[in-house]
Amino acid sequence: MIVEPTEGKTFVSWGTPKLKAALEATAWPRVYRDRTEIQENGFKRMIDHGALETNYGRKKLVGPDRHQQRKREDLEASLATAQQRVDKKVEALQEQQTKVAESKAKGHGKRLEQRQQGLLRVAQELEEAQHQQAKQVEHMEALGPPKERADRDFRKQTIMTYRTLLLENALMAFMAVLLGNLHSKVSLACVLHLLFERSGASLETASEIVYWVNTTGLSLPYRRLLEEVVNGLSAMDLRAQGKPIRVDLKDMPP
Amino acid sequence: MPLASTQRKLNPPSSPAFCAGRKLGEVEKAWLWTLLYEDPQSPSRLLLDKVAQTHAPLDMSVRHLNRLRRQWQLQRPKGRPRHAPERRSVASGAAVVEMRPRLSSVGVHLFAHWLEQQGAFAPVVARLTQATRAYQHAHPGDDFALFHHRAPTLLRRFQALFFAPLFGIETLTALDTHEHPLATLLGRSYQSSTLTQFLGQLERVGADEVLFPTLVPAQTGQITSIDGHLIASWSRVAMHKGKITMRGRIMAGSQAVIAHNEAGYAVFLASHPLDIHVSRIIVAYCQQVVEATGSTLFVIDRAVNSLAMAAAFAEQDWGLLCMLDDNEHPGLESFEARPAGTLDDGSQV
Repeated sequence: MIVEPTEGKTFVSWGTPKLKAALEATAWPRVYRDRTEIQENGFKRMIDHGALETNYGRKKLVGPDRHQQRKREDLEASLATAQQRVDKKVEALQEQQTKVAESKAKGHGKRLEQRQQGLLRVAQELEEAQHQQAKQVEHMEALGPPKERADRDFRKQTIMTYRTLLLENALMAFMAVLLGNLHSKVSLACVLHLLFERSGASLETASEIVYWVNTTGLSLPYRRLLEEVVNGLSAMDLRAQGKPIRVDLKDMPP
Repeated sequence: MPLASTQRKLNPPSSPAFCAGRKLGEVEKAWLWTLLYEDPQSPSRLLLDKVAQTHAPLDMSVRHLNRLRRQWQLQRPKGRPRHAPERRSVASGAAVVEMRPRLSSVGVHLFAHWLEQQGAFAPVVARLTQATRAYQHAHPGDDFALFHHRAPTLLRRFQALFFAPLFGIETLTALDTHEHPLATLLGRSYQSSTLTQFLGQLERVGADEVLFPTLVPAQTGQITSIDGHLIASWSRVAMHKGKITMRGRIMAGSQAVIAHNEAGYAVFLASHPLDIHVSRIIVAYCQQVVEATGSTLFVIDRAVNSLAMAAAFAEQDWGLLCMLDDNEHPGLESFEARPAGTLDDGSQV
């Protein structure tokens, strides 16, 4: 599936038969673009407000040495190639020896000389291949028995990354409900900045809970937006311990 | 304060209109009025003593209070305090239970109330309790604090970890050095040592494996997007830092392979060492995603672009949408293509 945009790079995508059956090819660019928005941009958002980039846990667990394993795999591949080369050279040498013997039997002059030179060359190549193989074997022996190596234990990291994902899921669900009660479009970043980070006051009585959001220092457009968000929150019918929650704006100079 | 939830005014109709003065703000005046309304016979000095014992003491004189009482017509008759026959009960709708004149991160408090209303943490606490019990059963000789935590303690500690990023707290040690409103949000604050121990105990009982089902929403959708996110590890030891490292060097850190559904909700996560490429673990990972969500159509970036991968996915009867590497073709001229149509944005297909 190739998309040639009016400007920019050509988008070339491919899919397995199951995907072709389930999704029309013309929808592929949109689906791939959605992935970019959901994941690539989602990670950026989670770095900003979800501490996605933070490392947790330095505990180490002993496990197989993967560096040694990779070296061993590479060497084994090289050794197999070297063995194949030696086998080929042995075959070539035997073939050349047969040819030399044939020339001797037939009493060739110049051809015998050529074939003897060829035999010498093949013998030298075989020696080089065997030398190469011996070096590979030496390297393999130098690696020694399989080693163990301390590797980072990712369990704490996984728990905290899960925490970040749960927070992001919750924020998205909250935004979906809030946006359902708003007329304007507001981004999550804007709500975090306008509402979540702002200070205020609260008063709990026996019958209700009142939250005031401090509007000091807000520009008029932001104030209007915050007012709309606050109205949206009121429409969400928030409750705590059975009491209704009322949200209001208030100037609270420092 | 007898207010209906839909009323937009600060005070009830019977109360005077408050405006912020030079000494007292609107909220403080409202609070004082409520206290006086509850007990109009109380002498001003006793009332000030009562205010001084609260979380938000006010800096005001008896004279100023008397002036306000006169203004609100809630002044006490001369003489010793008498018990009014029509005294209100403390539990009346106007009684102030708690007052916080200064509260940071108001939005987070509202968000927390919404989450509580949705019961968002109930499955998490249930799974943590279940994991703890299972560990306790498997290791009867072990004993640590998590075994003895009640559900509210588990909930509060997990909530402390959950809300910390919204207060700008990234590493747990920042709980000791940064001001944060955990006390007003959860009813108590936490030091980093408490939460570090809690996290260590969660790790011990294997919470990293049991919590994932709580991520999966009721409707998962047809298509799952998968991407790996590299998290670089920083240390005081001299090492190559950042995600771009020298050739042959492996970046210190971890790779979080995250799956999202069509609606953008995260549904699965696995952490891997960085020296293991995504293409080596992707089939096993997708198998876990299929088991968790039932979705068999995947969209993955160029990290898994290969014929072998296409064959592996086809063999499992999974759908895979992937992108060809830009370095593999100079443009449209390198393909034998026939036009199929035009997209909405005018691009040629």
